Amino acid sequence: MNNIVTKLPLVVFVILVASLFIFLKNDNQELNSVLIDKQFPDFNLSSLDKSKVLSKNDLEDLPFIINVWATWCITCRVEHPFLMQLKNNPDITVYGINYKDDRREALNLLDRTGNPFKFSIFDPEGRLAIDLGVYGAPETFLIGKDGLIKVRHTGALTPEVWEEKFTKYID
Amino acid sequence: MHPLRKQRLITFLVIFFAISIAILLVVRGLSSNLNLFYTPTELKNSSEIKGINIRAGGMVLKDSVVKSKTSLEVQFQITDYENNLLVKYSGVLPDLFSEDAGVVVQGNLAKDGSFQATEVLAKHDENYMPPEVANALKKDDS
Amino acid sequence: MIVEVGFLFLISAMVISFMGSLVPLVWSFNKETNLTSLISPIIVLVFLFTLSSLSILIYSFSIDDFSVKYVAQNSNINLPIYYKLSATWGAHEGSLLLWIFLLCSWSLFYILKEKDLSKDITGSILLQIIFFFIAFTVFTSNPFERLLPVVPQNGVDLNPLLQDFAFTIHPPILYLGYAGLAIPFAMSVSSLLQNSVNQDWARRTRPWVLMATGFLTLGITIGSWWAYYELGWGGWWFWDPVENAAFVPWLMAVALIHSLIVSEKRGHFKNWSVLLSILAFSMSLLGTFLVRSGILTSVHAFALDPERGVFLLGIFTYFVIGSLIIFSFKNTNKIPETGYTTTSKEFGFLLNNIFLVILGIAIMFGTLFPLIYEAIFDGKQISVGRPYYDTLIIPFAIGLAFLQVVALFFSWGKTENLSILKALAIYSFLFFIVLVSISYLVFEELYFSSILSLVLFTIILLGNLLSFKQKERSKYLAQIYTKTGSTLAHIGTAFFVLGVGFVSSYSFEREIILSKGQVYELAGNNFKFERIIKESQPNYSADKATFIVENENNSFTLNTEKRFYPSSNQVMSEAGIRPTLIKDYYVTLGEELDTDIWSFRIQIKTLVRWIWFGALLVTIGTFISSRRNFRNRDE
Repeated sequence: MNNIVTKLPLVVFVILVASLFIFLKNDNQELNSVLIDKQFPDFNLSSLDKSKVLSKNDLEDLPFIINVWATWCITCRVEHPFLMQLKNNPDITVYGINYKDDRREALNLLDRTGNPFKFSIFDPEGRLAIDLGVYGAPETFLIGKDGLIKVRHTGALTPEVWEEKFTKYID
Repeated sequence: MHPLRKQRLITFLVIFFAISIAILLVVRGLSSNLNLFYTPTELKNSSEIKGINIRAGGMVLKDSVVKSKTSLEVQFQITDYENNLLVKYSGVLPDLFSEDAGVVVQGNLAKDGSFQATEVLAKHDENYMPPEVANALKKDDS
Repeated sequence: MIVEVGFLFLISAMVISFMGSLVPLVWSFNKETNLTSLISPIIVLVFLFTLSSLSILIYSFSIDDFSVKYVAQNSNINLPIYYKLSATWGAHEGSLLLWIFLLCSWSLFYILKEKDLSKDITGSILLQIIFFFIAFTVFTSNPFERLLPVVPQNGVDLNPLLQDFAFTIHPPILYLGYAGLAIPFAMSVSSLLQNSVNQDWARRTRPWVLMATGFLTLGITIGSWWAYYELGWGGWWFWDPVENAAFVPWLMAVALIHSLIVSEKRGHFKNWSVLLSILAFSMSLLGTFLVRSGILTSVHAFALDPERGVFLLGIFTYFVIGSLIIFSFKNTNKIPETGYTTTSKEFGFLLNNIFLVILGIAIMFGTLFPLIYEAIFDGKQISVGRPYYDTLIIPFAIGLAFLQVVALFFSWGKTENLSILKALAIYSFLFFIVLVSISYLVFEELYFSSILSLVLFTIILLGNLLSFKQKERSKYLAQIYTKTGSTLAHIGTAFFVLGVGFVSSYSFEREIILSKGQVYELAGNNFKFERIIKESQPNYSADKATFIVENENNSFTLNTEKRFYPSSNQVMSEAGIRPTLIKDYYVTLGEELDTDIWSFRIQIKTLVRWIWFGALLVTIGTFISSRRNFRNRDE
């Protein structure tokens, strides 16, 4: 009897750990599966440099990635050099969403460090970002040749991530 | 009875008793104090939850906040981008309450379909969306 | 450059702690190669490396090195220097490094304090824990990561909530408590492996548990005090998942302190004590996991990152499941011949343990219940409210209080003479009547919770004082020496309970609107809204309101602020608090409704200070007891 009692805590904790792993796994899936294989949402916002009003039809060069960034976002500066590299990649177009930011500061930053984007959509209230289910910056979405969202990546975009998650949709 | 046996028996009885009481309290506590979470869309389509203590969440609709200048009455709309819910509250709003930001309100649904809030919760993070809202928004997409 | 050196130190610490953790394995394969003599030097080295690593991170904060991502995200040029230093543990990465450093400090203290280490593999198990956490830091949460090539001009700033004195000391002390629980855990596991779970083991372990519990108590107390004045709601406990994550290990540790007494003095409950030391440590790991993985959201939660969650859960699984497997096969089956009755100290401690552990499990259950519910009801979300915890804890608190008092008068084995309980009941009743009358005269009202807290206060206080009296006069001095710590800690719980009961009974709270110059009367106090000014500081701008409060006895001013921190774009209220022994006057600024018309929250909190005073007594008592136990066993 003593033996059964002393194994009881083990059993209880094994169940606990197993269920925690399941919760954790469910959590991850939810974050990624939201908009995958859906159309890019409609929007109507001005461009960062105020030159024109943009809508979904302006994102015309398929496939493309669209990067959510802001001046207050430190990690965005980490991925900035890599975005500059991507700008020179003929297989892909890079668009930006300037998220909850100050227009002047944002333009200033692009002047100083270089502009990797074909254009940036100015989204100070995060309207488009909400439609995309954005949690914060940086986030990057890949829209494939068929116009559907293929990848959502939260956090810095690095060459490793690019290889692992993005390249298979571009060729 | 052998003293060792007796000792064991009493120990087990005590443990059994304590666990029963704990389970009783847990069940009682959970059945009366659970706050179910609803989105504005869910509240629109249900009538049976009027008067029960619940939570609702969404983003505060832009330009919907109406504050009284003479009392602490305030009302605003929260939205899950499908339906809106009118929330009435009397009290000081939390520091981080603002339009276009996520908010969770606790209270109950009044007869006229508005939400009478007893508590308004906002989180200390400008990019924060209440996870319940985020989930609800995602569900609407699919 | 120096930043890379810091990272290098961390990696070196990881490598050698891994080598140190292999000692028992080598030993089990080859009985001839006992490498335990290597453990101590390795611990010293790991300690020095992590110390250097942490110092370098602190240094980077002090010189505003924003090329380091972690510094850029949590500091700012305009931040006052002492907050720059405490910003080191303002977020996940740095607080993890601090935790590791503190665990290394405990390990160092362990090898300095324990005399006979020739066959002791406890240090090696500690090194295993250190290794896994350093690996976690290095691979998922590196605080030394650089932001190159573009170095920001300025940092994002420390969360304004954390720019505060209590926050500079709260995490180190709380972590000292958490990490300290690793010592009894490691001692238990090593004793299980070497089949040496005996009375001597209990005697050696107990002062360590007491010390860790002391820090845990102090850390939780400071956290509660911080929440009280910093969050601006005037509450002192919110049953937030993060708070529960600290409270549950505390309950387990307190249970362990008591069960170890029985294991040491009588040889009973040895397996149970081992199990409790595993539980206490695993609850502190589980708490860390729940908070850091982001599967539970809370006010204090750190950045959400599922990858970290998986890693942490892996560590949790390894240590908890691993130790429980060892426990289920190697537990001791030596049960002492001597039995005990229902009127014995043994039985009292048993009840105490059952209550504490079941309470802890029920609280953990409430914390996890939203997850379970979501899984069962297909994504339907709920939250478990404060009333759940309140209904749960009150019966257990009553049970524990009465038990504490009765068990004080029990003897080991069987208690022959219980007449003193009768005397206690009479004294308590008289004292209680006096206290209730005073309360009624002062507050003119009595409530269930104020009466209940007075009952508990009376019996705990008198019970502890009377327990000195029972032995012969000649033993007085010896008694005072042995019992000071535990008596102080127990009396601390009395003051704590009284504070809790009175705050919930005799507090006033109003949300009001006042225009400049207007007076509001609350419970015999006139709150006059004197003026409001705008003020500018390097790192924030503020609206500052001044109140003049007048009552029969005196008058004083209260200042409350609403601050805006531009670098992190956050608004924060600073409550105006006038603390006194009996009452706290508490004013928070709401918002401007019209020119010079503002909303406010005004509160009067009765005996709220006694809550922390009681908790401080518990802390002091625990430390005294730890010191005495160290002395006793080392003499």
